Amino acid sequence: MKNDVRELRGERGLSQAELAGALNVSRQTINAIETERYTPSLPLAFALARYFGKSIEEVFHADGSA
Amino acid sequence: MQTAAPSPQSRRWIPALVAALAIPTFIAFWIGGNLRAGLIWGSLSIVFAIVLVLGGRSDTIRLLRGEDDDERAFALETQATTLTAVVLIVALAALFLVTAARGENPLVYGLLLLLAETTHLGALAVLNRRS
Repeated sequence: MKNDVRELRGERGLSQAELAGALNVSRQTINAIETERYTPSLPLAFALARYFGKSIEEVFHADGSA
Repeated sequence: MQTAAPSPQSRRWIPALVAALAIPTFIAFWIGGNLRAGLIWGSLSIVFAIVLVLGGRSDTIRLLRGEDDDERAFALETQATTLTAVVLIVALAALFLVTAARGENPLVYGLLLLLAETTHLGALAVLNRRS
């Protein structure tokens, strides 16, 4: 699923490992989400969106739009 | 609402368990009077355990050891387990048919297939009630 996680993380100057640590997931999971190889569960999607102070729709784009 | 937390210690026991399987394997072959085969099959368990311990930075080995134990690891584990089950069931079905075609008794393979199917049905029934 298309998402803005990489851009949002970059804006905050966070590494994948730092974001993973904040969300209690592995660095590989953050990498897989950013590269659209893994679609996170609803709880993790909520956690990511809340971490960045945004709604899920602002972070994840189910219709493929950027 | 929680996301699964990584638990680096969660499955450190797996290499030890794999290595320990060498003991009953060796004993079973020893009782059966085939010491050499017991040593070979037992050694395979130990080699696999060593690969798990020394696998180091490999992501796949880390997944096997449960070091990246989060929701993605769980999803991968579930998919890998499903694929493993499908391969085993297809192999059992093939062995069942080949054994029957040879005029031999395919009872063991048939019982294992029956066990697989009843387990699948039972699991579906329980999971369906719970969800």
